Amino acid sequence: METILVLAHTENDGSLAKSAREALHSAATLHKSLAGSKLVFGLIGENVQAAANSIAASPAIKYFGVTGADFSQSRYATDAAAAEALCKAAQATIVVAPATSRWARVLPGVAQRLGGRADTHVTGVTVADGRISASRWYYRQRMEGALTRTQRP
Amino acid sequence: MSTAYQIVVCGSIVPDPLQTLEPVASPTGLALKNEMMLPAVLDPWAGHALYEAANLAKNQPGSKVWLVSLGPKAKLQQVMMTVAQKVPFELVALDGSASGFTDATETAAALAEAIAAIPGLDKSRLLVFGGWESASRGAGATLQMVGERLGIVDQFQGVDQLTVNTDGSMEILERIEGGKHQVSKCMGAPALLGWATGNLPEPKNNPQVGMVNMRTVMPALQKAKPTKLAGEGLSFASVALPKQLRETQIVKDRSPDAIAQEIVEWIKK
Repeated sequence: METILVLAHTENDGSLAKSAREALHSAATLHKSLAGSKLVFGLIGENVQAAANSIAASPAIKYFGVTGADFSQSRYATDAAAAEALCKAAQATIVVAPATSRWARVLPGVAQRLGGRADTHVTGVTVADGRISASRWYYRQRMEGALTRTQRP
Repeated sequence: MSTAYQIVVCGSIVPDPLQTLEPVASPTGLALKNEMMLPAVLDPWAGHALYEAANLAKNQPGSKVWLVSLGPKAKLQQVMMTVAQKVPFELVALDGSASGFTDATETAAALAEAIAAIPGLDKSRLLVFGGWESASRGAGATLQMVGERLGIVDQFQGVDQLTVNTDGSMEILERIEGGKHQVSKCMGAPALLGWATGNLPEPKNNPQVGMVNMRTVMPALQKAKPTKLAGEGLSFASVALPKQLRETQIVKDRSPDAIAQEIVEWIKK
């Protein structure tokens, strides 16, 4: 049974960027396709309450947050520690995040810490026979591949 | 006060961008058609990282540059004929696949192991450079994993500029959204930087530099450690070139309103 964690960071004004909402939508679609899966949300920022309130109607069953002045800025060390803590608290098996510069910097390193794998620049996710397939481009967008992984997260 | 850095650049080879690339199944997994016959070049962003490393080493007396490269030995040798003439470095070669279909985690494990095995490595002076993503896999994930394995938590990606201050701290510009740069300050090594293009031009070929480099490049290639990337847990359902699609129509005497309506209907599809 998969636990899908959506990771997002707040903007300077405490709001959620459009890319974060798109990631949430993608994760919600994945959650509907995976029978028995759980959807949870993890937020990082100086203050995450307003952002959490703005998506309270989402199908996520739990919301996790890491807050404080240290998390207002985009920084590898603090973002990695926060993301790692959220993944462990949520017991996430699948992590979905928007490809912002902040997450692109840190999430592969977090995957390494958790013994998982990270696939980036994903353009689509589908489910067939209970297997998740992610699409991404290779060789500077000259060919497109669909891949599956057994490792978690 | 200048610091004598140990700058390790991670970079592999990619097919020359002007070549036709076609994915094919092979006994060892997905590959490119006639991959070993395709002309190769050093990955462009890794190349920028190498030139920035050499520039930093030139400005920080006592610093040294290594290039750690995982790729087929024969292709590495071909590429080194050109790259070795650009800037001074010592090659650490790993003999394995440079395919974009290999797993970033396994690649990172091999690179980190090779870096940790460099004689005399001093992590307090270590800077790990590389391209922020490659022209093959294009994941932008390998360097972060290398950094984690080496215990480096000061990591930067999409770097365009590194300035070393007199107190040894570093000011780093990273590309972020909106065409902007984030300016960060790092107190010093160890640090990891995934470079974008930076600001330096490609150095001209210098045969003298090439001759000095080749004294270490050839032995490094001969003792290149065979490295197998098994791709455990990773499988590809499909890899294909995008379909070419052309729906051009040539019409005459259609009103602007009719054209606009057709465009709107197409967008709504």
